[in-house]
Amino acid sequence: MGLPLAIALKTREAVRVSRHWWRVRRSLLFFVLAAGCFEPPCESAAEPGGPFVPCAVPSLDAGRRDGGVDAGVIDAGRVDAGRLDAGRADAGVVDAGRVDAGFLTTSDAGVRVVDFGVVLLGDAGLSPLLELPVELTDEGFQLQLRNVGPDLDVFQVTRLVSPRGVVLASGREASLHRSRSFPGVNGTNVLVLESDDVRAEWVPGRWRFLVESWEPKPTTAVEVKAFIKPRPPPGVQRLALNFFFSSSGGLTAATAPTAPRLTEAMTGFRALFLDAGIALETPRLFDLPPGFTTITSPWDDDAGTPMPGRSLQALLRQSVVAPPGLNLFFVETLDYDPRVPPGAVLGVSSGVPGTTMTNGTGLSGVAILYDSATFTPRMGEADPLGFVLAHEVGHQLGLSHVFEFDGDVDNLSDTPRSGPLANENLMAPFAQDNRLVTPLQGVTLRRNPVVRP
Amino acid sequence: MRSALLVLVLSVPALAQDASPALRRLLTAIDAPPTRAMLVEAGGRDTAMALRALASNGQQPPGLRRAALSALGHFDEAATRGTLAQVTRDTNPVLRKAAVATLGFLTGAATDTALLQALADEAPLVRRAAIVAVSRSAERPARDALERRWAVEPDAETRALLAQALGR
Repeated sequence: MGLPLAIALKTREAVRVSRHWWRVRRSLLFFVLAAGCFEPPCESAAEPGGPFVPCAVPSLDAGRRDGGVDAGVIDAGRVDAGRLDAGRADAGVVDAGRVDAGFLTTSDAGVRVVDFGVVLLGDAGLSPLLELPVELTDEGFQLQLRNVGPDLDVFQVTRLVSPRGVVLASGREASLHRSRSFPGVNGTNVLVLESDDVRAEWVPGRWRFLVESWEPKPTTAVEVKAFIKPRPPPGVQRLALNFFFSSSGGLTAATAPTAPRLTEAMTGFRALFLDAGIALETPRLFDLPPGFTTITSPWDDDAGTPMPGRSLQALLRQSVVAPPGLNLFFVETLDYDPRVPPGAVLGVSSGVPGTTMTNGTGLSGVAILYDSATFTPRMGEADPLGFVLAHEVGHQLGLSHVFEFDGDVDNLSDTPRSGPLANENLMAPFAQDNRLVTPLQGVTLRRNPVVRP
Repeated sequence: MRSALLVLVLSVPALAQDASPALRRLLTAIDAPPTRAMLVEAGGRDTAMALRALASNGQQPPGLRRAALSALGHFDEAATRGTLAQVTRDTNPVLRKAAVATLGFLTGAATDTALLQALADEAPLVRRAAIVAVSRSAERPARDALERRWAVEPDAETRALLAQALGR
């Protein structure tokens, strides 16, 4: 389809292993995480269930292919900044020669942010051993990897080992990963959480892991952060939402509050998440710069692609203007995979989980197909929009499909694999009557650090 | 007897074209589009015919028709091109867009007459899909068609896409 061969090969490789990027079709810098930044800018819109309120949006450079965010401006001087000598590495895990414990940069609404800085990967494509201290009062953490090198690459967390030596993620075979840990193009995220699942592993102490690049080069560098979530008080938690509109289907920040199709979809979306113990906050609304109706490639690095349109990565980077929250982008055309016939995808999440704790990256959100202001039910066909919203947000927070076409299943022990209960699950791959969320799915959703008490 | 025979004659092609429940289910995929092999496994050897029947049947739900139009991208046959060209004239702009996009996906179809005509569709979303579809070809007729549209295109978002296609 015109992709340069190297990119096409990389794409195939990514498809083969990074199943969630492609199957779920399942890829910054402007990092806003200082304390207080979680205050919504539209105060009147902060209450769950309240009306939509459009937000003021700073202008972006719409003329740039990458949406105006430049990965190249990462300050390389931050490499190793703040490294603590955490003592010797556990030789039984990996002989990495050193341990990097990162440093606590900030604490926001109780979530502790540990910044490992920009990590340079060695010739073998492996980072030094990284170490993360987890307290007895914590309930989960999310590791966030982001490519800051010039080339596309596949990254993953590997040799993720709990304080008592249990390996949660190792190697390139996703099925071996007991945590929410999958390889991803240009970055990935890993969610490790406390759970009743017999397959889960959660103990306080020092967790250790490595970052791996699949195609290491001298310039391979990854920004690594960890977000540790303390156990919240009992009760419903909250999820902040940012909606971005390309004007597709006539949907804009001005029209969205009264758009019947979106309003109805939100009703179903809210109900589903409330069942999982999460109240959706009133979405903050943003208009995208011109040119984002049509998504025709996965990444910016698509110089050989003859088709006009923007990349999915460039779209998601537009979240740079929004306050912290989960980002949903509404577009007219969502044909980012050049090997798949157009129109086959109703929505896409940038990861399982995606980058939920940093806006402005190519993994910061989900994209939703919205090419019509109306949906006329016929012959029992219901509008799938509400399910699609909930399903993609489910991916972004860490849920996989309960089953795949090839027979693969998720890594939760209480999700149905077949039959009506599987088909009606939120994470069934089909848009039917997807209203069921299992207890362990609910736990996974609530443990993501972007979900707040 | 004659009426029974007539019913039989009429029902045979209908049965042959009827999409199986498994095929219909695949067409409700959210974000994991079925491959050609999956579609054929679910629909049997008449899968392409069943998809064409779904795509062109105005009595079927629009969401299902849209998915069928997309799935037809896996079945690059003359009959498929005919069905897609027909749906580019449907009353529903979302279905016209889907037909245009899939037609452009088929090998060498970027300068198909139906696509070039879609560049002037009344709905901007259809025109934008046509711009992407025609842009798949680097041949002169495609470039000329885009240039002609550039001269008259009134919609700002569509012009931006055209400008990108033309390298302006």
